[in-house]
Amino acid sequence: MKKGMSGRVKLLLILTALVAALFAISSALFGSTWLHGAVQGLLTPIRGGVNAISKQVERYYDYVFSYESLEAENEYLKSRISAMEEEMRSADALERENKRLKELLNLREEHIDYQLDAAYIVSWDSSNWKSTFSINKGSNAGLEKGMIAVTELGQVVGTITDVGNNWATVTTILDTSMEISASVASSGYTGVVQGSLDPTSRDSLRMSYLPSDAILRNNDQVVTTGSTVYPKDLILGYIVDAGYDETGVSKFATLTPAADFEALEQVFIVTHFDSE
Amino acid sequence: MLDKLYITPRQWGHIFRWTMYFLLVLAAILLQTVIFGNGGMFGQRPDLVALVIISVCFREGPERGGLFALLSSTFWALSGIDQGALQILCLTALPLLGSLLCRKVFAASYMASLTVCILTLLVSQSVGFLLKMFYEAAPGSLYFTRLLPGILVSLLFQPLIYWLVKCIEKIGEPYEAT
Repeated sequence: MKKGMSGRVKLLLILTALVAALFAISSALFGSTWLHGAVQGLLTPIRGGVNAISKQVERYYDYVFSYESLEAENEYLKSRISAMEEEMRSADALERENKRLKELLNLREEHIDYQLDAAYIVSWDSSNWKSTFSINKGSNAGLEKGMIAVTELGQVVGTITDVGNNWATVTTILDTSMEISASVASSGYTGVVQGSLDPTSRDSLRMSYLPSDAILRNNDQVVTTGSTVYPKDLILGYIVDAGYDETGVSKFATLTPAADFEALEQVFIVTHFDSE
Repeated sequence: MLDKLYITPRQWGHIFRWTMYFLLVLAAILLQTVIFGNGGMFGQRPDLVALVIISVCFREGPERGGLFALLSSTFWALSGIDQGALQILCLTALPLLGSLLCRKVFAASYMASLTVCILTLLVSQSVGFLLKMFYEAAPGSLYFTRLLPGILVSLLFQPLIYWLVKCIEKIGEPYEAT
């Protein structure tokens, strides 16, 4: 070696250690700093633009290379729409009848009053063992930490864990840090659903602490039990496997999430719900 | 006074070069988080930002490249990534030391750059993974099923990024010597 480290390199290494320490301390004490917000605020519109362009390119590609399958899908969807319209007509009749019967019995119709705010996903976390994404709405739209994100079908996607002016970070239910109190809809068994980093199946959930005598069937629906954070009866997933846990005193179930995370483009944030 | 404000064509070249490096980092951030964010490539998300930072640091040397690595990794950490402080530390110190070592001991060849890339990705991601195991009880098998394949997928992009950085490096080079 000609000579060791120059003074500038040493200074740079010290500066790096200081910046990293400052970053760690400020993140631990204050969460998101104004600098963090500024960079996110700058990147969010750019990410939104790139996302929109990539979607257009994808659509164009699909149009060119999958025209026949799209045509078949279109026909299928048309038939589904007409079938659903028929169902809606009969549902309207049943609803009217139901209403009359409820009035007759002086029952009060229950409503879970959700207020939803639609948001688009602009980017996903870059790490292979974390499942978060950013959306294009933030505190300006009234979003807060702890609010939950669902799909248009009422399937749980995740919880807002960080908010800026025009962006928010949603940690999905697939992430290992998430724990949600849940129950099996058909039988009422309760447990805790956690994201699983199962190497054989990337998008799977694990429901733990089920009673040892619980009878679990495939495709049983698992829903939220409801709390101040999560509204009741939102769909988390479906049971695909079950067994005894490591201790042997309780059962666990493996779930496939109800929401299709691969195809997720838009989510709905529940900004208000009646927790009673 | 006005003489001092005058920017020579060579200085313009330097400004343009560093702007291009920053745009390359920005493009890597957008590719990594938007295009490869959901789904990735072969089921893995390539770490493109790290590759750009390492390549620039390697080509520009430990002093200028190291400063660029510090600024870029801080910007990357502020963009909302997981374990930001660790990324700042690893993505600055490791390429800087790698660049320094290669210049002192080995020739600054492509193979040396590839080695620095592999070592930086391995160390930074392994430390991050260990923290994940410690705090969130992630299973150890993920090291072989997710981390190593992720690094391999990232390395597929290394020749392209190295070539782009090499092209940008030529901007603002002195041509009086020819």
